[in-house]
Amino acid sequence: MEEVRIGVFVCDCGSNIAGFLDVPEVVTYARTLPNVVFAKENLYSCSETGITEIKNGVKENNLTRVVVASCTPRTHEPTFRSACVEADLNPFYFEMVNIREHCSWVHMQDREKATDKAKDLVRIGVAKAALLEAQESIVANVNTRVLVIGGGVAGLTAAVSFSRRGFEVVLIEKERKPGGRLNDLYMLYPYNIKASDVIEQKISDATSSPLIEIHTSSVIKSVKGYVGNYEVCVDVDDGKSLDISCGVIVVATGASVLEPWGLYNYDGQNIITQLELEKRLKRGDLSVGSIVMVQCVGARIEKRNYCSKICCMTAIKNATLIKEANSGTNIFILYEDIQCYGVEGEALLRKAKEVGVRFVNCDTAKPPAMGDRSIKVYHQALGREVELRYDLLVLSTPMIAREDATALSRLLRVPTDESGFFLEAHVKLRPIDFATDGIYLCGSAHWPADVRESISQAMGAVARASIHLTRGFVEVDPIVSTLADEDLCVGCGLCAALCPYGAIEIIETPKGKKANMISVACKGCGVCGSTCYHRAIKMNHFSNEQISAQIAAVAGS
Amino acid sequence: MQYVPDIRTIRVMCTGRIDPSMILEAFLHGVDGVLILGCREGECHYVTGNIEAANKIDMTSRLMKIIGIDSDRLYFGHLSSAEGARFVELAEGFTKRIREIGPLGREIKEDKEVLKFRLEAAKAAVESEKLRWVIGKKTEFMDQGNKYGERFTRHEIGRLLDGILMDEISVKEIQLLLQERPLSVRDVSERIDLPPHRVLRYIAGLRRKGVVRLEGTDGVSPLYSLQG
Repeated sequence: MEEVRIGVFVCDCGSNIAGFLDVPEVVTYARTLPNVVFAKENLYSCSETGITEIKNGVKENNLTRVVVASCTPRTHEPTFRSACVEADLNPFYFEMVNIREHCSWVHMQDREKATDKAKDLVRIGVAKAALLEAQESIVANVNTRVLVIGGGVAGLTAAVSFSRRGFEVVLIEKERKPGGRLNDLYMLYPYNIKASDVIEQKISDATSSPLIEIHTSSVIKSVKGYVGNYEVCVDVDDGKSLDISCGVIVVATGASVLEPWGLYNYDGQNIITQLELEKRLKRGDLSVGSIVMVQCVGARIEKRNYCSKICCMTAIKNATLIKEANSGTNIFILYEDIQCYGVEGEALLRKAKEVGVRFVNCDTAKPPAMGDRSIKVYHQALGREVELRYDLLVLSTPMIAREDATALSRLLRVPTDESGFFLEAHVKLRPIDFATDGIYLCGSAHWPADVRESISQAMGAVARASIHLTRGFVEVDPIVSTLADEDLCVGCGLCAALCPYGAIEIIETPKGKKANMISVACKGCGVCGSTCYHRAIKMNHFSNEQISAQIAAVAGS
Repeated sequence: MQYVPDIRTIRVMCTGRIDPSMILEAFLHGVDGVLILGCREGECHYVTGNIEAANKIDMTSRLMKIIGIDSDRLYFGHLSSAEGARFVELAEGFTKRIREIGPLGREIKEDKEVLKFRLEAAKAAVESEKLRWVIGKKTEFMDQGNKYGERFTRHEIGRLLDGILMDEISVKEIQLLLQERPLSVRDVSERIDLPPHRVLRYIAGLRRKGVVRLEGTDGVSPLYSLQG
């Protein structure tokens, strides 16, 4: 067997780590650990100097395993794995120990105990490092066909962008015609472009493209497979079902708008939502003397605690348009806070004020009360209640997650957040990816988005998805389950039943029924490995032996 | 954001990776508490990993009660990776509770060897086929029902589980004892504090499976030992 020679690099992270624990002591301690032949302090392990020190350390000391004790693997594990590769080591011969987020930053008050903990964490990391095994990434071909779910502005934009890149697209729309929410809207802020112009252009681009196949009145029934090779079954228009093979999936299903039944005597007649106002403006049948708009109706409450983000701008835009068309109309906007981010947003707010839209800041503690064709509101600036008469009361209600989002999220095996919107893989690092590879997200399915944002996100999703499509193959992180001992497996199928990704199938082999791991679909959660009572399954990089060694190391042995 | 420096971490991809035997292994190594942290319920990054984990952890904690270990030493906390404050709260709360309970083993009257013996038996028990199936099927039995469409309530499945755990731990304890040397039913009964008729029943079962054989007699008492 090859000799295990571990190198430990302990990062100062400037003063982030070294300021709160004794790094030289940790380094000295690391040298005493089994299999450790080299240990070094780095000022910043992730810097070019640090990386060079790691690479030189590997070469000069014939290291076969590398441990870096620094920050969270979320930021720099890829960096250090690459450093290993550059030093001709398999990237999975690397183990990261977090002594910053897990230690120096959270035990600033006790240098001694923080140092002790860092030493323990390094010992646990070294224990695992000694048992690390080389892993080769898993490669599978990618079907270059794309499935876009949702034919609104986001979905259409994505479909058209894919087609312009030369990829075939299947677009699934639930309604009888594509266009989504924009079919109902009047003008789009900030430049008052007609919604119909935008969406008609998108629809015509999509329908005229020979690469785009659109199915309306269609619903996703089942989704199987994994990045590069999805098999989706769709119930289409004429009651038939359609099987679609595709490599990637874009979710652009949009959102619903809250209908505020029970709030402000909402009736859909004289008391309507902003969306219904848009429809009336579009039809051009609006002639009223006075309008009162109320913001945040059914939003930012305990049950729905978020800001829908687009309603302020919608209200300001609609109020300005009405005022400009007929300066005699009285318009009040009752608000708690105004959200009009961006240069254009601010400018529109100023313009609304210039044309005479009046803004009344309400006190959350004293909400407006309904009168007969009037609304009573405590005017904070005047310090008293005022009564505003209206011919039309417009309620700005939030966008809410579609009811069918949950069902779709289950089919796609992607998460939704507490409000029911689809949840991205990471809020900053992967804002339009899902955690599941090969599935992307754009538009209001993710979170209330205006048209510009929906389009940007759609283009972003296309760009992200195109990485797989143009490459033609996917490389999957080899942290997956493997059938390490075929003879131990009795083909009982418990692992297959519990796999959340359908990544295990039971197949007939000359030795009888056995589990077969579809590595490219496996995400490495390890449920199968912790379930198999014959210990036939091995989780790469998180094996029973490795974890046991860590457990022993926690106790100090 | 600061918390007590008493916790040592082991990273897993998902709480679903955690085998109940790992938890018992940690106690065998003398740790005073095992805190398992995973995604919030319904928000598992790996879809159902934390549900499977919850089933396994619940089983382990029932088993801990059976062998006399304070089940507060094992806690499954839920939080998202963005909830630092909650992490602190869980870490602080758990450490405080462990400090109250004291070092591992303080809750049992017997010596360290007995604790080790019981933990080893428990570790063997959680690796048994029967328990793995019951735990693996728990969610399905509760949500959709078994083959016959019978759905189990949390209480029913808990009672069922406790019965099976009791059997499994007894069987494993008997096996561990017989591993040392051949023993009579009475010997076993005294060692593990289980009525002779139950010991006999388990030994009969083990004999049927070919795990235990009749070794000889001590006076009029048959002696049993593990099969080769």
